[in-house]
Amino acid sequence: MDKENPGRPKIPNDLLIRALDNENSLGSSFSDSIALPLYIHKDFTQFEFILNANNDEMINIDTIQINYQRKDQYLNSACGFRATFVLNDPPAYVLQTGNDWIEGFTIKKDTITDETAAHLLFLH
Amino acid sequence: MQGVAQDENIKKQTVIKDSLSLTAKKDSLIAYLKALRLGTDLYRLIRSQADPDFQGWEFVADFRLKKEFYIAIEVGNENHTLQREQINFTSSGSYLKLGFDYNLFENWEGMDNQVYLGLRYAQSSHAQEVNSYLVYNRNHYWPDQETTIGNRTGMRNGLSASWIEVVAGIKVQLIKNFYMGFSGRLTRLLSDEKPENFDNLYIPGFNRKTDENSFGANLNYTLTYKIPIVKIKKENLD
Repeated sequence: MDKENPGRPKIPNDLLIRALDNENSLGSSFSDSIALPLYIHKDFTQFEFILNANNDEMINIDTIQINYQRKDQYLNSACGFRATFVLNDPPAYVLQTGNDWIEGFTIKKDTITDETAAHLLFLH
Repeated sequence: MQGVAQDENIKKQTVIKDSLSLTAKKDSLIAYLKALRLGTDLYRLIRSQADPDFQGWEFVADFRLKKEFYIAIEVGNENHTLQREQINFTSSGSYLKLGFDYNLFENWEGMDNQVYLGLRYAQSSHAQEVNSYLVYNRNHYWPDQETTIGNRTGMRNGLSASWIEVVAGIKVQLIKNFYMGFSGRLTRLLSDEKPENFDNLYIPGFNRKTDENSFGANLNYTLTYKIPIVKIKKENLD
């Protein structure tokens, strides 16, 4: 979301995201919304948001920690439990400060049970 | 003197004869025996030895109330660990089944063999513990890993269920007063107190509960001992 106009989606330039403790990146071409897979065995997940990933001079890495509670929901005997997260308040913060391009977070919906709706908005 | 001795001998013989015919008469007058049969389910005992994930016992009893009708009861306890698709859990608790059997087998006098149909009302009081589970996940960014502590693992106490059973079985006398029995039971769940955020996937005495319907099945192999109580004479036949 645009930091000057929080209602307006803004697409970050040349963004690459990957979780710490995970070698795989989440890809590099995004629209205005990104599905971040939260780690189900901890109460937080840390992601590196790499802006201008392909430009050595402009590159800017923000490490974000997202905090939540895990409250899995029982579906049925075949599927078992479904991962469900409740975002903390504040839901996230930037780990290394200084030259941050992400300036804030807004919770849109605090209980995460699906993978389609937006739950957390990043202001930049 | 000789004549008197002979007379006494004849008297004695007739007395013996009379008493013999009397006992024979007495036996033929018995229609059936009211008896209590007590025993145990061998299936659960043997399985407890053979299967490390199962501990259980069942005590059985029946009482012959009328010629064909028996009151029947089963009391048991089970502790069973199961692995369902995504969940490993342990169900433990006790149950009571109460009802009757109707004997279709025409016994010889004094015998108590059965080919029977019966009905039971059953209730359980149990607990379920989720030992570990694999979260249902379509996104494989993170490797699949079982949840073994916290979150939704742990004990769910204070659960219960009630159901009815249609029973079909046999009981055959092996040696005097000892009976071997088998019964199969089709069950239908009437109600169950479900744990929060989980389900009664296994109910002691009932067996597995499925999502699709409320029917189930279970069985027992029994060894019982008969204790005679009242002889019912033919003239008092009800």
